[in-house]
Amino acid sequence: MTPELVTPVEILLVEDNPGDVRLTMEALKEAKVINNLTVLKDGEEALTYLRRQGPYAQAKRPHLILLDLNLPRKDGREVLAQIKADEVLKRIPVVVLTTSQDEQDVLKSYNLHANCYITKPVDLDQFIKVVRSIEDFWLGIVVLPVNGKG
Amino acid sequence: MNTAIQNSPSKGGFFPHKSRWAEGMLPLLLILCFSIATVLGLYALSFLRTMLVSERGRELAMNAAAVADTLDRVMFERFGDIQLFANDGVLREGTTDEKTARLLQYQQLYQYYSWLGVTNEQGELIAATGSLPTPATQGLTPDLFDVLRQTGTPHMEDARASSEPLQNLAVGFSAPIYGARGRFRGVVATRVPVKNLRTIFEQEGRLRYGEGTYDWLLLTRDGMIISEQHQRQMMDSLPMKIEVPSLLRAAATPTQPGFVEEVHERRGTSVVTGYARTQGYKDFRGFDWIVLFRLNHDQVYAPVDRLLWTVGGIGFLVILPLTGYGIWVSWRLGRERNDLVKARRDLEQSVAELGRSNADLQQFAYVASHDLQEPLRMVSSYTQLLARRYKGKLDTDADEFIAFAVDGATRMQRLIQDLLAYSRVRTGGHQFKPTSVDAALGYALDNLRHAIKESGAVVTHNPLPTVMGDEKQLAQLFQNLLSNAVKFRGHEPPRIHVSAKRTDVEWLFSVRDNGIGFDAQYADRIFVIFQRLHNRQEYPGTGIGLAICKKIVERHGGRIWVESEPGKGATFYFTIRGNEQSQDTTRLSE
Repeated sequence: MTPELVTPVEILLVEDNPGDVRLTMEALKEAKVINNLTVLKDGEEALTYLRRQGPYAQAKRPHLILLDLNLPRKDGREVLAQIKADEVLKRIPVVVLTTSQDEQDVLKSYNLHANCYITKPVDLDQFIKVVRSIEDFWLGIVVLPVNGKG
Repeated sequence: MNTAIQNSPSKGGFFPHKSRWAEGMLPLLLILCFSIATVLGLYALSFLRTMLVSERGRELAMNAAAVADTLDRVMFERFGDIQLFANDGVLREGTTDEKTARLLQYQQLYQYYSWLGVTNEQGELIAATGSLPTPATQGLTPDLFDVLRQTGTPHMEDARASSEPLQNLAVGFSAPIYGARGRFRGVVATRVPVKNLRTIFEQEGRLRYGEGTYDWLLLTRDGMIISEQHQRQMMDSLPMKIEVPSLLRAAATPTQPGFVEEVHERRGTSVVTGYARTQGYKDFRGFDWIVLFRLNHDQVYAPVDRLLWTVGGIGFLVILPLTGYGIWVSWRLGRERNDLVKARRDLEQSVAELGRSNADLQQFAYVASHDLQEPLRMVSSYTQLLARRYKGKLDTDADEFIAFAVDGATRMQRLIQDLLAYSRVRTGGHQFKPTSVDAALGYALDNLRHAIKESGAVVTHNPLPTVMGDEKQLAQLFQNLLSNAVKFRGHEPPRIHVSAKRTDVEWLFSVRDNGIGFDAQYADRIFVIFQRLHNRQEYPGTGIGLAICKKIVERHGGRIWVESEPGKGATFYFTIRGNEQSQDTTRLSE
């Protein structure tokens, strides 16, 4: 079921670079879909949030995860692996959004069941375009599963 | 991050360890062979010597036995003589003169005797060939007379130590004389000097070794020398007793002649001694003398030693120098090989180090480009965001500053991308394979078709060969050269000509244009990364194109250079190795 317009779409951004966070936020500001962006700065925290542990006991399940690969504490690749190994979390689409153009990273991410892999464009206009596309595609076109309980 | 830079210099040795070991052992092996040959030779020599010793020893023993035999016979005859004399009528019945004449007659007849005498029944000497050399010695003594009168049997007396001069040592024979009806009439006695027996040694014991190389001894049973070949100078010295192994052996084995190796008691030299004992003859029991024949070891070994000298001489003259030469050569070979191995190891190490530092540089360029991208993306994104949001909303100065910032960031991005491209020439290249240069030029022209069309350029070319290379990179090479030719055109439309010429080992390519050209003094500088001859406003670009060209050509094992004059166009030349040399020269260090 596509999320209804009245309930904001939950997006989790795992990104340690504040510049990128802000750019993503700027780009999403102009989004068509009402969204609720949660930003976490490292992999460990992201997993705690997703598992609703500690301070995040009341955390909402995101509809979409934007994941950077190079993160402090717990690396993005590991976060991806643990999400996809989790019975509940694995349904959440994970968009790998990174600066890396390395073929190995691309391959590894898809092997870990990333839903898509996007290299951050250098150019601002391009970047905005990409974020819009993600939003269009994942929050507009794609049919996502209804959030399971727990 | 891509870290596809590989650097794996071969780590293995150049030679298998086994053969290296063997080569190192070669001099030792030669020495070992030489030693074995020497030991075998020495063994054979000692074997030969043993053979010779036993051969000569047997000969000496046979000689001694022969002499002992003759001595026995001679003594047996003398023992017979005395019995004959005892029955002589003249000696029994004749007058003193007659007796004396008969005794002299016997002495002349038999030669062995130095003295003969006859006593009356009281033991008084009544007739003799002469006076006894010393009273109470062999021949006749009062004691002996008594013995003979009582026993009535012939008697013989061995040589014994006395005050007599040595040359007078003698043995004595005596027998009682009986008249009619067994009446005791006196005693007849003879004296045989030992020196008279020397002829026996000289005749029977003549060895074929030559005078002076051997000697003989005649000893009594208890080891007293009663005669010897080389009579001692002191005429009046007492007989000497010796004790040598041969004597003991002879005493231990009465009937068996034999030989033994021993040290000469006087000379102190090593000798081989053959020994034998007199054993008597029939009922004659003999004196039980011991005969020794002795030959110097040196003499025994003479034939072997002659052989040894011959062989040894040959060995020293031929084999030793040969072996020495062999050892020297193998030692030198080993050393040279070690030097070579060392040199090659050094070289390999240098190559590996070069490869490493090269790889480090590559990696540095790559990492720098990648990691620089990240902050640069921030600068450029946010300056662009500023421009988007605030252009025209602030004052004109702000607009201008923002424009400069955006321009700087954009150029920086170009530079970094170019640097990446430059570093990828090595890291991102493909394996060499036969590549049509014609096709590579085709790709380049295809990529440049807009620029060519815009500038009205005419590109011509001669037939181009097929070379071993990386097609993509060759295409890029042409693309960079052609786009330069178009970019730096003069007032007329560009005319560009590409040609190829075969030289001995490589292909020489040229790209000639009719552009603005440049001063020849900059001919080297233009191939250096980010070096430009013009400002950006006239001719945009970072100055990476020709640096990449140079790198591509070098990766293909060639050279690139340019000839130009201002206003007269430029001709770029580059070489690529011929088809037959199909090796990627950069693979070792990649």
